[in-house]
Amino acid sequence: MIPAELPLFELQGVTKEFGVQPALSGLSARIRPGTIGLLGPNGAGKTTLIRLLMGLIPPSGGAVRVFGYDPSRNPLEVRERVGYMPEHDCLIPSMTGVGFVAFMGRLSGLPKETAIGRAHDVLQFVGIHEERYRKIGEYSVGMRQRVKLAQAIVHDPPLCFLDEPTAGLDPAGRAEMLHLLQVLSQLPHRSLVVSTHLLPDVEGLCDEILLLNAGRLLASGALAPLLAGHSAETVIRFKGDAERFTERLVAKGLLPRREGSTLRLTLPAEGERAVFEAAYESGTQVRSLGRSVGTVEELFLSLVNAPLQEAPP
Amino acid sequence: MTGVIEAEEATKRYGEVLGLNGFSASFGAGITGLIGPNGAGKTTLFRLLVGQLHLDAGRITVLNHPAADGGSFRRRVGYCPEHFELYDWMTGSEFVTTLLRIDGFPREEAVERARAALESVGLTGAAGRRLAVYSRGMRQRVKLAQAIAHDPEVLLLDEPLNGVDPVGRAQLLELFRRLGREGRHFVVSSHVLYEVERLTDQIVMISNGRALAQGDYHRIRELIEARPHAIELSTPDPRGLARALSTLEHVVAIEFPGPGRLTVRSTTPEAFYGTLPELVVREHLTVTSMRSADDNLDAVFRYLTEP
Amino acid sequence: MSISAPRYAAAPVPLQGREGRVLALFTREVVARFGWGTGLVVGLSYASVVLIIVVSAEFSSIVGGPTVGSFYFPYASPIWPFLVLIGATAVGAGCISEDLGSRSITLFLSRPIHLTDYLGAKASAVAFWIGLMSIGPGLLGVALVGALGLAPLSVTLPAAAAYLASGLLTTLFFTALAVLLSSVTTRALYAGVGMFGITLSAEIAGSAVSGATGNSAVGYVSPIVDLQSSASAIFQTGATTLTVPAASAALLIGASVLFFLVAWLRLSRVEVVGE
Repeated sequence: MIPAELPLFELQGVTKEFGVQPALSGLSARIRPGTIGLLGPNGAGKTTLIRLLMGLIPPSGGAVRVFGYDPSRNPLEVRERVGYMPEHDCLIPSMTGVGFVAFMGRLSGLPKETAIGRAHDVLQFVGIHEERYRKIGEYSVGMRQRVKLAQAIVHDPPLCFLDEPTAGLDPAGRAEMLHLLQVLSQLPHRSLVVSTHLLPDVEGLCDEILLLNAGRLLASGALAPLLAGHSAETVIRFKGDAERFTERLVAKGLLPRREGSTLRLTLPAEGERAVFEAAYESGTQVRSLGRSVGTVEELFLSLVNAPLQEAPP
Repeated sequence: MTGVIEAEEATKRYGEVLGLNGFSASFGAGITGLIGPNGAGKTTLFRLLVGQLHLDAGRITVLNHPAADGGSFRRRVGYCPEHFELYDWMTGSEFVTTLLRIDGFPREEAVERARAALESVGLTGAAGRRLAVYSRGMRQRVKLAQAIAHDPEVLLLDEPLNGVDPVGRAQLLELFRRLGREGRHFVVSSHVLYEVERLTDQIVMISNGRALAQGDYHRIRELIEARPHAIELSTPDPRGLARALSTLEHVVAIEFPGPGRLTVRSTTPEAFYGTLPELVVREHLTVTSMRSADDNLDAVFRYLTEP
Repeated sequence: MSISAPRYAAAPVPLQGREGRVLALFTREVVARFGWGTGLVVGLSYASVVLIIVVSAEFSSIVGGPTVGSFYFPYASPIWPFLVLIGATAVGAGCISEDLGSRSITLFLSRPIHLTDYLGAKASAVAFWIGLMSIGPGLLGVALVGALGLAPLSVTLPAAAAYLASGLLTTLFFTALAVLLSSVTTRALYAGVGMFGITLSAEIAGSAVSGATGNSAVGYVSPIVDLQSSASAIFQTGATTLTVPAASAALLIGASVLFFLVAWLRLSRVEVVGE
């Protein structure tokens, strides 16, 4: 068990080079236990960072510590305390759900009986019931994702890496998976690092973020202060004639931007009244109105600052 | 009035396995979201629309042509499938150009269209590199480029944002909105419902091979009468606001969950949202924020698919 | 679904050391490798070899008593090594390729085990079955011969030792070949075809070509020729062989080590965390 004051993992000036192009350069961060969102465009270095933290590759320079261990020197000690849920398919179709998860538990060092018991526990938790006795080859996409999660937590690791945990899931499956992760994240002494492209999921789940771009750390730390320091927009969801509504808002000196069934704009203090007036005058319904403190997506886009029309390397 | 895409009792089976089972729906102009659980028949529908599959029963028309038609009509439809084996040895521009030439475009025009399409999806820099080295997000964008390169009127996109990073997602959503404003018609299938919301209100919901619901999702939500909408409001004067709202007959309950907050439950949200602006203006009320946990696509999906 | 995650309030369970995990890998692999193909071949090899041993010992005891050298005969023709090849393919072709194809190897390597543990456990499990098939029948036959009184202990004991030694050499080589080919493809079929293809062409090159050209040095190329040659010396048959037995044995061992090394190198490049 890890006391809360000790950092989960630490990076000091970490660099990693494959050939000429550095995959990571000058990364320094001290991350407390909790639920962390690992974010960044494709090619930003998230995968490399996870590999480094799990002791699968050594850094080219700098120091890495996970639970106080150096992963390149003590990879097994680190991996005993780490669970990994990959994005890609990785299950053995010929094994049963419970057989597979128990086997993975044994590979993490659990004695045989304990492994079987815990396999049943975690499969119950992720919502796989009688199907656990059937072969994984017969499972649906949703069930496979859940087995992936189960094998990542069967040995009760204090740190779990989750790579796109909601990938391929339909809306019901997404909601369930996010709920499971919520429950997991509330447990004491259990930390999650979630790598995902779906930023609103991060908002609901993570206390902290690590934002990478082109191998560098753009932002790290608690989410709330990062968002609060960010300029806030108001989002209006409406129903009715978009043109007339926009026209009335413009007449009141506001500059709305339309996105589907929403409008985004910056409101002055007590500007909500103007919104309702514009709605009344144009016969529009206001369905929701919120001066958000700024979403993770806005933070992300402004920090990454990609000019439109440019693809990642 | 016929929609851009019309389906009538469309049925397609693969032996015992269900594809579509008497699917009837009408897709209108602009952007329509196609949503449903895994295995509901979304990909089957797409493949029928592009003529890769043929119906066992029923009819499907696209722009008033039977979907199975070949010929020059096909050029008016663009398709970005979820799974597409790319020709890894080709570069991005070679790939899009080749597909255009297979479609019948002359060489120079194909090259130019490919260039423009790749630029729209943000792949100009990578166009000269082989597809084998493309990341997931880039492969997704190449698929989109080939779907739009021939300037189709109708675009069918199956999970177009799969694997794309947040920067790309924002760019591509903007691209879709722009193309929609230019007058193209889209059917976009996605599991990420809050992104569908950012594109359109119009949805067709499919489950078990049938259409479960179609139209404006706000309207669909209202039709699910059994569950009154809960709307949360923030205001400096909750009592005053509550007093004003309680005069409305469709408001069945008002709760005070905390300081400065109000929760209103209404059986006819259409009436509630309709009269609220007038009430706020007339009674000089102040509402600083308002949201309903119900008025979104996730809630609609949940209520329709829960037993 | 249960809304509470399993909580382990008790002290953390002491984890098993490396041996426990490798053992888990090994036992699971042994079970997984056994399929109808393996069973068929194992059964066949036992039946055939035991039968032949006992029958020919019966004949030799009539003629004038068997010697150690007379037990050499399974290796006298290429058929026996080919039988082992079939068995090795049935057992070993899928041992790593299945994990590569399903990408479950990424989960294995994300566990607190070394690549060496993984490879070692796989190789041992495959070797278990191949050994059962290539060593077992000979030992069983010799034991029966001894029990039936067809040969004295002074003959049966060295004969048993000889079966053990040549069987081990056979096992080593075919295990290494299976592990190597299984680690370079995602399809067991390709690995199996590779095993046959390589051994067959090497055998044709080694024995047929050298016979035709009279160049016995070519014989070293064929693992079967090498096996026969080594076995011949182990069984003290005194017959002249195509190749020098010691060199043949060294070649087989060296090749096996090389195969394991290449397999290890190839697997060390697997991306555990990736797209």
